[in-house]
Amino acid sequence: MSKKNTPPKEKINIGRDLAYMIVLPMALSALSQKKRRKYKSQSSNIYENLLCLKNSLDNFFITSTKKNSEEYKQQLYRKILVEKLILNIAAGKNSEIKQNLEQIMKDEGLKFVEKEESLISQEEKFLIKTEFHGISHYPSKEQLSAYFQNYIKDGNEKAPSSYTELDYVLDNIPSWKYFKQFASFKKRASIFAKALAEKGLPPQEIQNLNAYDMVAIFKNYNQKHDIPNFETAKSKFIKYFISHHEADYRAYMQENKAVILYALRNKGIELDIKKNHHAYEEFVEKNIILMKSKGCVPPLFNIHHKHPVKDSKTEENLSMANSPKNLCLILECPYHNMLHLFDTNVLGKTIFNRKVKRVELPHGMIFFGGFSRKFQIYRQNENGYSDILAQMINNKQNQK
Amino acid sequence: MQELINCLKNLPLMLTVKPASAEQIIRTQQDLKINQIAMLPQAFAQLLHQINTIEYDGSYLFGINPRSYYLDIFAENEMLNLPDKENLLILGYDEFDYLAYNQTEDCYQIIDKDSFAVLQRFSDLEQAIKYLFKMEDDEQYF
Repeated sequence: MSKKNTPPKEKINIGRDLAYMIVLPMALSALSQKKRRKYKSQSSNIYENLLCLKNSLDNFFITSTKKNSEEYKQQLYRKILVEKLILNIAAGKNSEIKQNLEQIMKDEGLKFVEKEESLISQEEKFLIKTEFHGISHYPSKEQLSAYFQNYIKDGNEKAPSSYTELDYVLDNIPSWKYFKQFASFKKRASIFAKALAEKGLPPQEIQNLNAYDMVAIFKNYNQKHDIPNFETAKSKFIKYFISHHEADYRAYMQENKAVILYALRNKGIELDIKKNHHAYEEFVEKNIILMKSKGCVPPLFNIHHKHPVKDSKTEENLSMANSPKNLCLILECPYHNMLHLFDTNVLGKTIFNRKVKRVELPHGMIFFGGFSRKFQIYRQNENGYSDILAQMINNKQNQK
Repeated sequence: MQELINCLKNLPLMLTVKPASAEQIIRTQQDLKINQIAMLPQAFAQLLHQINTIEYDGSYLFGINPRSYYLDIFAENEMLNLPDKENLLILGYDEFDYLAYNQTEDCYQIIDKDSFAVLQRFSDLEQAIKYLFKMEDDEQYF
């Protein structure tokens, strides 16, 4: 794990995280069991598993030998929280389960925040999505502006065009103010203009175009001219993560093998470790190769937007939503699911003042593989500008 | 559809889960019905016989998972706080959107996770899955 600028990590074995990997998906599962017949038929089996886990909690949670130490008290408290959760799962008390989960998350250092809601428009969100995932599909016809729908309907875009890219001032398109906040689009301004020219859109009418029209025109131009797609924010983030934190990620996957194998099992996948002793190592290696070459999100993980996309209207620009600072690679089950379990919108003091409740991951966190600090990775150079400046001055002095 | 299934099976790092049995599918249909959630469309039920859950590059297609709630179509739908559950069955998701089957309209829809706005409509499952897994489509209206 990176030593620089990382919060201190406690010495801990993986027991606690393994216990969470067993019990938290069960808790989330229990939240969804209302009238399920299968659950009823399997409930004795689940109960036995829970009882077995409850009886082993000491082994999972208590590592401190000094019974009066703060560390011991904290471990005991965590164990009691999980014990409570197990009892509530067994009793099927859904509202208590949710409360227990919240308590566990708070105790493990996650913050619940309430903020003013600052919603973004559908067009703004569409551009955040487009930058994140790329443009694999055309927007639906209903999303296009009435102006552009008519333009296509009349077959105007097929007629020879007398315009060139120089005829277009993109700032005349209302949604361009959103596009140009993203480097991926801003860099391709001339392609957008060429695409408009090719479609023969009268420059004096481009103020009628919306963001969906623009993306459709852009995609069509790229397809026609074999222009490769821009690299998505998702892929860039994964490549950034693995290039900066490969050693940390490898260490996590190695030290956390039991938890990852359990997570795979939760998904219904058994790696055949008995037949192939290196099956797990090969799985990890293939992950890393794909992360490096294609920027693929590794199995079992997902990317979490720390500051939610739907509340991305800030003084800064929209593209901050997809910046590596705002993204975190996280184990999908149970942690990512748990974070979103508590997303709620609540009324503020007046009807115009809406608030949102969210779980907030710490600033600088780039990887969340478990509650233990040991299984979290923080961005390097997370220091402020002054620290970086001081470091540069130091380096220069050393060179002299 | 078979071409798409083969393509999905060959996705890099595609970890295969045992295909769902007829008994599991019938039980899931019953669970959905008892809980007043839209039932599995036929094309999706057929798909489950060949591919049971897909996870690739941050996109997920549900299946039947007897071990956990995770990616289990019934459990995931039960947990989601969605309007119009009797008509809507969520089949999968990515970071921003759900892939849903709309029983009343007999079509597949891409729905925004926050606003529940319908963003895209597809008449067949193949197109909808291609959208979810970001497989390039051809030009539609030019």
